[in-house]
Amino acid sequence: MDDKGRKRGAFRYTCDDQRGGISILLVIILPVIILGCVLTYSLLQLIENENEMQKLAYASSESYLSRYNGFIFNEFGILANTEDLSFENLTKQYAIKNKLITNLSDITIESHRDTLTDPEVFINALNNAAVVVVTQSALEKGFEIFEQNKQLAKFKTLMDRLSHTEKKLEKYFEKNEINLLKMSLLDAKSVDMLGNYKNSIKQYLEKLSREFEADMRILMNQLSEVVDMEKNEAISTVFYNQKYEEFINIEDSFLKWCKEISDELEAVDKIEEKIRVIEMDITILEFELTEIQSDIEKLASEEDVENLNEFEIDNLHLIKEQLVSSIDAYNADIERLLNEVDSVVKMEIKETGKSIYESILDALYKLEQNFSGIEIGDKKLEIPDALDHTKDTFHFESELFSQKVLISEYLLTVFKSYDRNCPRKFEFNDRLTTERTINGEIEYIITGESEEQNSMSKIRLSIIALRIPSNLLSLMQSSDKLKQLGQLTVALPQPWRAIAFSSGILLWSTAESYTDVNALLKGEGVAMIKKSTDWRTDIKALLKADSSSQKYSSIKADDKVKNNMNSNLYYQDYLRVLLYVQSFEKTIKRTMTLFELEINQSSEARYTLSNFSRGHIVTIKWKDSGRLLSRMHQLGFFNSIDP
Amino acid sequence: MCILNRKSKMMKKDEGGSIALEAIVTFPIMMIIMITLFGTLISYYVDERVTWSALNTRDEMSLYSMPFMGHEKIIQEKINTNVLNELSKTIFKKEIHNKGIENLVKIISTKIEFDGFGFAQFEIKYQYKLLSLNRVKQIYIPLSAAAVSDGEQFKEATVYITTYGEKYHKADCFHLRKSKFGIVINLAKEKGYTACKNCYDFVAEER
Repeated sequence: MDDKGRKRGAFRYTCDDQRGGISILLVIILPVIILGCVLTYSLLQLIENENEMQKLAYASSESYLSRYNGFIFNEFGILANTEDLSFENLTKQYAIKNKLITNLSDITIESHRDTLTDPEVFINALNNAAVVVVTQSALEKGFEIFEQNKQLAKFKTLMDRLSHTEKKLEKYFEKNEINLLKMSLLDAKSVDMLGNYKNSIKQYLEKLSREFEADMRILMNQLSEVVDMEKNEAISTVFYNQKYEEFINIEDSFLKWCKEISDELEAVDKIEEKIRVIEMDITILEFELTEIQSDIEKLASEEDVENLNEFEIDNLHLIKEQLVSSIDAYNADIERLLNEVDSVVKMEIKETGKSIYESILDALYKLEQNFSGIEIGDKKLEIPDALDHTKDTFHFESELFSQKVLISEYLLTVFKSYDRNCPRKFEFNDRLTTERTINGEIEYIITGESEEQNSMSKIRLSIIALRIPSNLLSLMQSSDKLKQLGQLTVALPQPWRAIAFSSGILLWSTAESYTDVNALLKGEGVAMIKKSTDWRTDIKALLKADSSSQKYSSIKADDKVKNNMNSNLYYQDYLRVLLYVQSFEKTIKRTMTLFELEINQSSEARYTLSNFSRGHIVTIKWKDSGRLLSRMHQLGFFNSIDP
Repeated sequence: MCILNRKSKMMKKDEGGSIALEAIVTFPIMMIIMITLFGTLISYYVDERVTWSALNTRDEMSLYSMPFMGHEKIIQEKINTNVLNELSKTIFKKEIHNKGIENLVKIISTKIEFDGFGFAQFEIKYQYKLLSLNRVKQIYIPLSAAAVSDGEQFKEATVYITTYGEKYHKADCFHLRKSKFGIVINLAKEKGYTACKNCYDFVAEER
């Protein structure tokens, strides 16, 4: 009963009794709350666990893909990684460290790699590499041309100096002063004059020798400066040896010339000596003559006629006459000896040699001639079936022409061809100068022929086919050539004349195209539409089957720099055209085959293109452990090197 | 009746006392539990933010760390580790500040060391400033440069010879300043070329 004595039920009594209410709260409601919180906590942990694993997997994937293979990057500019590092192990180790799993067996990671054998992945790789490689190579070429022009200006200055010094040396042989002195020597009337002129010549010769020696030293120093500028050791050595020999010849010639003059002067010395001896004799005789003359005078002036000995006077006169004739004879000897100087002293004027520029051109031309022809190798690409992608069955085409152009330029930068002299040739990391299985790799990509000879034959035919229309057009524009053809066919009646005329045009264009191909393979440039004067063949000689009518120009010394400015087409330009028009699918398949061969050879068959990947699709399954709530999680994602 | 009234009054007084007692005991416990639960919820938020900060630090470091990845000598590795430590600490602190969780988390330490996979392992140890069921947490993420070479060149590497020399060299050898021709190493050996002493460490080669 309550205060007012009213009866209440037990429950109502209990509710009215607030004692223990909070205990009820603690005992019943709070556990519910706590249980709820714990469940929420576990759920949140699950979600956090999943998020953390996702972030960790992505971070591991990024790290894994950042590690590119050094070989394929250095050789082809492609970023791709190999399986040497296991993505699975990497992710598992970090999952354990982050306490997302406790055992390695709690996690399964599957990754499907986007290898380079997939044509889409391969094309993307080429696209990305092409931009960098072509730009880098073009920039390097630009700098090279700039340096080349700078170097060429410096080179020309040094060559001018060298030429000037060489000309100066050659002029030593033309010294007119020596000739004047020699002429004076020849005109010497007395031995004293002879002696003076002879000494003048000797002194002049000594001075000349000293000057020549000094100029020779300057010349050799200048030659060393020129040679040091040439980076190609082969060319610089040949040039140095050639010029050194020439300069030594000049020195030898000068020394020989000096020796000749010295010999002449020695002979003159001997003559002078003889003349002096004769003069001494003449002096003695003259003294005797004077004495006899004075004796005669003395006798003639004797007053005592009886004492006059006529015999003695006659004798004295006789002696006097003998003396006079001796003196005359000696004088005659002196005359003769002086005249002998004429025959001893030679008057020669040496001709000047070739100009230095001509000598350089000759030397370089000879050098170029040694390498002017190209040899097509007879090697063959041995392609195992496993590495041959030309038989793959996938089909695709390039959507954009610009993509085709970019990839073609990339291929020309990293693969070799028989091109030699194209100014629009860019090289990536010295790849075009490295020895390879075949030299005609681009030719293989175009023709698909693994044998060099066969692929070059096909290329030749393709280029001839490209040249014929251009040459036809050039021929049609040239009135004098058409006149020549007309003259040849004038004797024929119609309609044979028209047929012969047309055949002649075709024959001439084809023959000219054939010679164009030879010229292109030699490294020369050929204009797209040639001028009449640039034609190599003559129709009359052709019809007579005379091949000597063909003319080939030589590559001149500074053509390589001039080539950068001209608009002729070179062999590589025709390869470009053939690559652009070829089916993209064929280009890619053959390129993949070449990649396979190079990787296979370099790695000694340890690697193929399938070992390189640029991305992966990852699926991770793992089980939570040590949590209140546990479940299997799964996540999947795709990541690649491409941006 | 009076006794009953007195008893009921006493009971009421007793009831008031027990409620107060229970309140004094249970209320703080409740508060602690609620704060802890709240702190725990906040900790998840903090974890999320810290992990994002770590990943952003990783992204930013991928450029800075390029010169410091890849090393062959122990001394170089120590230098690289110290540099990367300082860089990562600075960048991570900046990220934490940008995320606005400076007041919620205390960073105990950050550390970088090179792991067995060739990457730098970024370790972060932190604790929550609010009361939470979770206390100290450590996370590890792999840190790498944007691109780093694996150094693999394959055994059939390209070496370089000169016009008149008898040795083969690596690409950057100073002997190649006048002429430089690439050739596969096996072919060079076949032709009688020997390794340049400047380029090749013979002890390492033999090893």
